[in-house]
Amino acid sequence: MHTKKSSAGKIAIFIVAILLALGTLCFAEQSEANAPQDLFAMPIEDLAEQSYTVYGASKYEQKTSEAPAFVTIITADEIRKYGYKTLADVIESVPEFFITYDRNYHYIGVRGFRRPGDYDTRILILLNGHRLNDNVYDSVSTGTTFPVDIDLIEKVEVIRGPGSSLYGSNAFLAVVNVITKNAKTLEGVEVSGEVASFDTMKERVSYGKNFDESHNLLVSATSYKSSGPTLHFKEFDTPATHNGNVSNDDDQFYNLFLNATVGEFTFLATYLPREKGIPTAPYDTYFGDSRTKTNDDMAIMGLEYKHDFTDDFAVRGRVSYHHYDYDGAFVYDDSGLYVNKDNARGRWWESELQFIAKPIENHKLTWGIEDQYNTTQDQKNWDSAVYLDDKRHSNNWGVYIQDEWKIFDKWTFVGGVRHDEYGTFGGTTNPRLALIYQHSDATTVKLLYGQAFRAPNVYELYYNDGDYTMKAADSLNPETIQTYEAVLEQKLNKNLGATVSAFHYEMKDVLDQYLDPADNLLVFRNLKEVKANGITGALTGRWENGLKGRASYTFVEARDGQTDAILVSSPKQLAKFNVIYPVIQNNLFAGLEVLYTSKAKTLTNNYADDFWITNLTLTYENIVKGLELSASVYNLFDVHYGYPSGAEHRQDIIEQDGTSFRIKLTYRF
Amino acid sequence: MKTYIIKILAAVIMFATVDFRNICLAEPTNGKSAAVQAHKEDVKAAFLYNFVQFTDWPADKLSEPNTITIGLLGEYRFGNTFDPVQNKTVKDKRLNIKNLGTFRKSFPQDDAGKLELANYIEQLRKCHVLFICDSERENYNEILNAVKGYGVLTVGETADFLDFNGIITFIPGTEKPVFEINQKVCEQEGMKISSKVLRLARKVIADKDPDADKNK
Repeated sequence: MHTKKSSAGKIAIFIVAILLALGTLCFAEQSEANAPQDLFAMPIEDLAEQSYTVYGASKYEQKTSEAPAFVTIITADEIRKYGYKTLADVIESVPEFFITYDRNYHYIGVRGFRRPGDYDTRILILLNGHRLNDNVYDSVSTGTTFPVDIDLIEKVEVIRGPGSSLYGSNAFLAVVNVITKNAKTLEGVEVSGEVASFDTMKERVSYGKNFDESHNLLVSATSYKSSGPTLHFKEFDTPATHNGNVSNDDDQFYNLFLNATVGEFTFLATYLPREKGIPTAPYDTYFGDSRTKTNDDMAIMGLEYKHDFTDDFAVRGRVSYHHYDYDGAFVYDDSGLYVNKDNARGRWWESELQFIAKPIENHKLTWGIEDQYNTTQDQKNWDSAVYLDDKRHSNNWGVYIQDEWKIFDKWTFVGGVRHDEYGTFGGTTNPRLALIYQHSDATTVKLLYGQAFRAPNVYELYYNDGDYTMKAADSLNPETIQTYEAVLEQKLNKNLGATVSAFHYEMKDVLDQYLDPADNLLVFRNLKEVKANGITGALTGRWENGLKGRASYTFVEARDGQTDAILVSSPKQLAKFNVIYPVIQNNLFAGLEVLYTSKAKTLTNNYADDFWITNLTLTYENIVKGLELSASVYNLFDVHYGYPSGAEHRQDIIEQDGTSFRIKLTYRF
Repeated sequence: MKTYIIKILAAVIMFATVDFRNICLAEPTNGKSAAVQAHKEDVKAAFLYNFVQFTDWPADKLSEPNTITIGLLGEYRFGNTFDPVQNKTVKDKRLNIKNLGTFRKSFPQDDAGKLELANYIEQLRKCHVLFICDSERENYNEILNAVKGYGVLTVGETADFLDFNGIITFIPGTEKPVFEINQKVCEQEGMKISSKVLRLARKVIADKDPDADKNK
């Protein structure tokens, strides 16, 4: 890796400054046009692009400017035109977020926080409102393991900040609500095929049918297979380990998806089994053996019921059954090769009953009860002997209430609180307070305070590998976070909007692995404290000719509360620049994405260099009616970059792919 | 650290109160246009306004000298959304947004009742655009038959509205506005919807190839 690292950070700031300046210029120019500034004056093409509202911030639909959080929404249109391949790609483009990949799973970092070796436990991911985080590791991986094909996603709502006052555990740093397509948005037959670098093929066929107003069906099937690149790891560059060259980076999944509406009921089912070769030889496994791999199987069946008694009183019910199987196989060399197996089995029921009411003028109230019944939370590890065979089941529940109170014409107060009860550690209560000042339709200021928690999961509580390297903790407390935030949302003119968000958070009792000197075994403890300050400036724009884009810059300092050291895997600066340019109006679009991530400390106190990644996608719509072709180049300038790795890896930094390509053809009829 | 964050908060609040717009030399804005999102009712209202601009009515339909009327039939949900365009000049005429309430079916059987009924129906027929809320779904046949042949651009918000010979319908349950157009009925009624609108429709029901229109 060779970049001019000292100057790149300054370049990032410089470019963002230029973008902001350009934005201001455009805006000054635009203001001379003196156009009426409302929906009635908007070109009808833009009107058709209006995405209605955000759901996930308050568990009901509201405008993002009214939501008690800094919210970003990414739509299916952007997913197509930027050539995003996974949900991880979508999240990486969102201000304040960054992604790392250890060549098995993708991990989300946000606001300077990502603990290496952690499975995204501090971000809650919802699928059409159903919570997805599994009941063993608390994780949802957003790469090829995400249980819905990216092509079936209609929009992604990203709600920053603590959400425990509505959602309970995991809604610690952010809530991501993924909303899928249904027959209303995908009607008829759609077939799609793509080929990409590293022998990658993906095929999909979908069928959507609207029988009548309240009966519709969408079914879809996807198959994906990639051989992966041949990789070189200098840490294994010895003749005994093939000079560090390895080719078992293969990845495959298929996905079956169904979404049906019958009257006021909506049924969702999705199944995605994925098999991934692990080329990095983690946990001291034997390098280059293709039998070292993981299988992740996720299935969800969810039923949702919506009924509006009156305009002022509505009920929502949800019940879902979840299935998660993890099967890891790890090849070891101990006077002969053998396979160690590591399994997890999760089965659980989720249910929620929610009410939304406007009992008196200027108040909007929502309250509800949620229950998670974990029938199976099993972990097993074995080869010739069984080291772990831990079987658990548990129950936890929560009750919540939130009031959106329009105090005066321009002032809204949002107060919410939720109490959760767990068999393991008892109860926890988490509030959220927000004061929203809408100076005008163009200017909104939000002052936000929230508390959140994350319950210790069964992996942290009970995993041990036969007292070889790890022992069980048995008793842990929840992690907690307090977040203070101020957000300014300013519409600059009819084309541009700006958001500035400043935040401070403090985490306590953060779970981390600790080497017990008494027996030299790793064990989870409520050890860490984290304090962070950060600020983000973001611009979004859209113009009459179809040009649209967004740019953002984030500066964050996330420090260890005890040592004051900057956290590992915590880039201080992120810059993102996305633009869709209509090359030929209504037909050919160029989607350009430039992402900057500053250097990040590794576990050995080295640094992964900062890097700029450029992705370019050309999309040609309606070549003939219903036919669309897209061509993408990822990492256009073949930049060498890598991410800090977890302690299970011998590699300090895991290098990522150079330039790669994708061609995709989609036909709808 | 806390003082640091308090300073940032203070700065942001000051920034806002000083009125960011003046610093940036902007015209005061009072709309939602830069937002990528809006409430459904606001968007529908704006579409109705656009439909007026992008539809050509037969000359006799525009014979009444002064007004173009958008009628709103069914449970009224628009609040004061239409205020910015009420009485605005469109196509050299005054735009009149008229809340017609829920569809009235029963009238007294006497002569006065008959006159009332005739006046009521006349009122619907005079509309240039008639938005029919989903609350009126049971009355589609009666409403649409009543205005048939009078050059009324009927707009609904249920997926089966076009099956009843409605002209434009918004598909419910979508994340973005999605609409379909029954151009066949539209042409029978002597109206012409601009290709600009047709192009945005998800589906256009036409006698002839809809693409033929697009190339104009």
